[in-house]
Amino acid sequence: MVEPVVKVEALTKSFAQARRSLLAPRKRLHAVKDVSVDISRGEAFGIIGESGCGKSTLARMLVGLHAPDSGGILLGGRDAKTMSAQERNRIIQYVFQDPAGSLNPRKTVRQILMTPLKTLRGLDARAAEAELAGILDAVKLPTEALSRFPHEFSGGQAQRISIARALLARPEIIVLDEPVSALDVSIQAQILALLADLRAEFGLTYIFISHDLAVVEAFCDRVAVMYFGEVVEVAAANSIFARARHPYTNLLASTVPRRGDGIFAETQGELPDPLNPPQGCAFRARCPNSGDICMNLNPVLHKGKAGAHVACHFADED
Amino acid sequence: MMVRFAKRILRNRLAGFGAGLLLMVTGLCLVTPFLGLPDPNVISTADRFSLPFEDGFVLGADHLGRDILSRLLWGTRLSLAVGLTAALIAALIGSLIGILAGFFGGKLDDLLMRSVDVLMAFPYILLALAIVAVLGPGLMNALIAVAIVNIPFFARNVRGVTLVIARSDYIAAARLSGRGSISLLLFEVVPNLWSVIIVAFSTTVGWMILETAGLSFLGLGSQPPQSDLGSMLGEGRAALITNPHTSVIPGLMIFVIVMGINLLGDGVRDALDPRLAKGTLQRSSPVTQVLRTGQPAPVDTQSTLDVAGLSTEFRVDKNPLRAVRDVSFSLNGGECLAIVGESGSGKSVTALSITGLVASPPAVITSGTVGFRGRDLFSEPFDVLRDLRGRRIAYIFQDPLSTLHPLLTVGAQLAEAMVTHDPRLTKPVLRRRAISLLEDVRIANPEHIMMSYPHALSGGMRQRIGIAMALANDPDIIIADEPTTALDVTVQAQVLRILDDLRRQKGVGLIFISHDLNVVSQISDRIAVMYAGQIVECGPSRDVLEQPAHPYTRALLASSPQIGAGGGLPKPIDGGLPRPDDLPAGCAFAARCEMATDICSASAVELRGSASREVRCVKWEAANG
Amino acid sequence: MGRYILFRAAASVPVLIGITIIVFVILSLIPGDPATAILGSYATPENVARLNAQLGLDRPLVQRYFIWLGNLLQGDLGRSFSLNRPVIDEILERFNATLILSGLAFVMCSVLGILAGVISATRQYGLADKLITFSVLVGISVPSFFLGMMMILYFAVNLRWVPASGMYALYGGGDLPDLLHHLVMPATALAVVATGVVARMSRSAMLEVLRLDFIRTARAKGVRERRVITRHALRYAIVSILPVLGLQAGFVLSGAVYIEIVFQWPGIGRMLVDAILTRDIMLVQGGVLFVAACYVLFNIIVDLAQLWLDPRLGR
Repeated sequence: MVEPVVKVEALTKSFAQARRSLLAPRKRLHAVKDVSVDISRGEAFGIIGESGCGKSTLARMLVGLHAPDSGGILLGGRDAKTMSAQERNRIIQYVFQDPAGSLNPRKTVRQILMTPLKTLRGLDARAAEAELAGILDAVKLPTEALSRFPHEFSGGQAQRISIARALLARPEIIVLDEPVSALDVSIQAQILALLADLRAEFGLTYIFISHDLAVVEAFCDRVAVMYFGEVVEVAAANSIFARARHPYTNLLASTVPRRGDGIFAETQGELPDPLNPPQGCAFRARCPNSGDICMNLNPVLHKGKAGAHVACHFADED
Repeated sequence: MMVRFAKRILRNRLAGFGAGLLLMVTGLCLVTPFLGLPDPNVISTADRFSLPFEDGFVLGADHLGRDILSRLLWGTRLSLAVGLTAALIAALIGSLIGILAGFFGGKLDDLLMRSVDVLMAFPYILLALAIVAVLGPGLMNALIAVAIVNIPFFARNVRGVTLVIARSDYIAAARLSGRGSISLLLFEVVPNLWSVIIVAFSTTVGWMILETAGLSFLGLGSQPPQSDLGSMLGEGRAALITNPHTSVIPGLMIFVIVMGINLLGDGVRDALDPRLAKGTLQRSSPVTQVLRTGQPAPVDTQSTLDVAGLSTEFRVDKNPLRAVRDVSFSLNGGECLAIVGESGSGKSVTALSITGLVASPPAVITSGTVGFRGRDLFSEPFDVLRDLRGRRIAYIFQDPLSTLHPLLTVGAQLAEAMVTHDPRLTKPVLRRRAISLLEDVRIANPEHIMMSYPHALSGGMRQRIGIAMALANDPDIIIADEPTTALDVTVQAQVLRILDDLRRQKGVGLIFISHDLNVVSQISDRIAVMYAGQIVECGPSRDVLEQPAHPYTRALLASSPQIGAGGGLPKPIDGGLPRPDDLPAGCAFAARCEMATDICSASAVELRGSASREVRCVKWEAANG
Repeated sequence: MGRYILFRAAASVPVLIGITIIVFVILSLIPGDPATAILGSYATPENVARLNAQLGLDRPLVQRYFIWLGNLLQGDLGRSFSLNRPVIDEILERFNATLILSGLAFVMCSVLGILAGVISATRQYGLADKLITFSVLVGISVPSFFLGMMMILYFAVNLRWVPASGMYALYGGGDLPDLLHHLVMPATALAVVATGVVARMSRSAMLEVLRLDFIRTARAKGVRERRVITRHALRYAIVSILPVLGLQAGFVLSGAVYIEIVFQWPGIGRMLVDAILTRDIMLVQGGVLFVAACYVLFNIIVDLAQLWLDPRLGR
């Protein structure tokens, strides 16, 4: 196997909660727990999970918007901790979910796009100007867009500007944090197609965060499923939902609505309280085949039969 | 930019009036030295308390026989200069503190804001008095005192906004584009703060002029012979009863100045505050305005709910936004009709129009009827409509966190839904019924949930409560507007299951609004697809999904991915929605349609077909018509 | 709830300490020598030195602060030289008068302000709204001391409805009707500005709330509009109006200084101004400290009311 372009090792992050009273201890909310993944160069790696599963926190740690409590990130074989912020962001960039919210309302598109060219790549005005023209063409926006302000654009167009900004840093990796969730399906498909083109054109590696199984299945090569801060399964996108190995993946795949199918739903079942995490496996209360061992021992991610990784005590038995 | 801003302020007539007042006063102040007025400090005991227009004194003379007009103008100069300077100092220092505390946070924030808290803990004049006590009476010291006292106001306001900006995505994005902290602060944060600082300044400067005048009035500001408006008023007070003009004149001057500043300040605030600019701070009436031209058609008496020719528009600018255009459908008990469309298709406005819940102004229902059991709801008096709301036609909304009242318990909100329509219900009965409603939506511990507030519950729980509330009076129709959009897939499935079971068990007619064809396919009997305010296709769910007739339906299906489909990426639809204030005369989808020809854009396209399948497409009409 | 009260009270301790430090430091910075001020300019250097030692003024600032704080905690605020009596006695007597005046003004501005705001919001752009908006604008632009003087001219001098000044009639007064007779005009003058501010805030708070989703939910339930306004909208708006009321209490207390001067009301504000002019530092120090502490206490109460109204806090 080729050397992974992103190597995440035992990454953990928790957030301190406000004290409830003077004497009560400060509780910590564990957003990401001991997550390890390898991402190969050129692949589109999906991370999927429901709200609160820690996927966005993980994504933000990769680009340096959050500092991990423990664990390590290797980018292109180098420890991210040893890099300056600028060095790091020349390798890895980020696209936000909310297209309008990630563009400064008081800046023109030209000013927004100039920032990475000047600060990250140190280009002079003429070289930068040439880059701008090229990038707008790549994301299929007209040149007139440069002198406009963000509020003059639709969600899909604003997302194109965001993508252009990320590309201008000439990164190897782009983290796409729910890049199409705020968009209508027809526009969503436009952006997905654009992202696929850009990946081929610039030889990019994508880390694609989403809650939408269908989008991830269509867009990604491999997928990690997160539940309650942990990765519970990693497998190829084209098989992960069809042949789910972890019971949570299975639950997701069977509850997601499909045209022509009836409704499938659990009768009860919600996330555990993140401030009082359960002992053992976090999913056991909702799991149809949990046993005694699940009560005491939290399963770790291990390599299963078909090359997939699963964190379940019973995953390989059937 | 500046000109446009000034125009926006002056659009407010009162602000223009205020600006005029101020212009006049400052104009007078500027020319005062050239008016040839008598020296304001020359004492002439013979002229004590001369009345206005007496002995050559335009505004009379004071207790020392000094010319009041001259003193008034010189005093105004002083008051304005001191008040403005104090305001500028307070704004500068306060904003600086607020920016630093909000942007850097942590220990610095703690230190600065704790200090500000301590300053705020004094009723402001006590602090001013203490400062004057230290520095001694005098106009300069009063200025310093007023400035210090107003620093916390700026610091707090600016910090709050800075904090929001510092945490925004666009600041994170600029950081990732390589900006360091200082450059972030100067080039990304500060440009967004100007409007806040200007608004804070314009709403407090009048107040600060008042304050400096007040200290002078108490004898702690300007000292004789120098005098500002406040000290004139203070000196005049001794002769208030015998010679009121000596106090009325300076008092009125203060009033005029402050009033002018406040009027202008309001204009500035309205022009800069985005919430006010968009006119969102308009009160919405309890029912959407109905302005139908001509006699509405008689309603269909066959079905429970019959919407015919409904059009709703938003009148904000010159061109109305036509959100819903000529929408018709009907629904019977136990049936589920889905209305599907992308954002801006008019599906939610259609749903809300049925019982007149679209916020008005700016919404207006311009045509059509909503027939409920044979009665046209738009022709009935409001009380009839109100009585039907929640009792016969109930709603479930998208985001249950914002649609449930945050300060009332779940139990109280459920009880209200019932007691509104039957005031005789007693507490124990209400309680029993509320519990059974919660059980209907499969909530495990209803007694406990009844006492909870919405914020303490999960999204799925809240939406179950939304459903329970809709069911409270056994309605005939439930209109669910994107009820599962805010939920995760596993929870969405639970909620869909409940809705589907209930409508079958209770025989409720369900209108299910969604943007998601996959969701809709699981629950609906019929589907109406909306585009740009119109229904473009309507028919039995299976037919619409498996043999879509309208090109938009086909394109929409091709662009919505679903799992296990294989076949790679979803197929995009090029282009975007037409603007609702500038809709084409012909087919609204023609510009994005692969099959479109000239006839498509020529004239309005009608919805054609049989009751089981209606399509709004010229091509389809030609092939099947 | 009990725990929250404790928490909130504990959180205000640093603020109170901050207040004592500010008051102490500010007033120690006053140029001039209190001993000389007390003894007069003809005092001998020995007498001045002895008095300084007696007052503890020869020690370092930090030490003096703690001595002063210790005395303070025992209720000893020192002695006023101009009145020649303990500061605390004078303050308690005066504060009573201020409390009556600003208390009534505060109640007036809260009730009338919220009422006006709600009416104005529910009749937006109607005649009532325009009238209220205009009066509010006049109200917040007129200096309270000027308004007080005009009221004296009109209601006391011209119409002779109420006495022009003082708290009780000199002869034969002293009962409640007499007090009210004297109180009504200064309290009104004091309340006007604050009423305007409260009315404005209430109006915009109500308008904002009436746009929120849960109001639409209430209407969709068929709830009568009057009840939508009171139970749903006002109930929520109060939560954002309450902090404004807390601030207005400070403004009312501040305005009381002017009003007490104009109406010769024997309150603490007038005492403070006199004390500054006579440079009676102990009295200024004690007065400022006392009123500030009361204001802190009041804000704790406002916060608790907030908590009681909004279950989302404190959880």
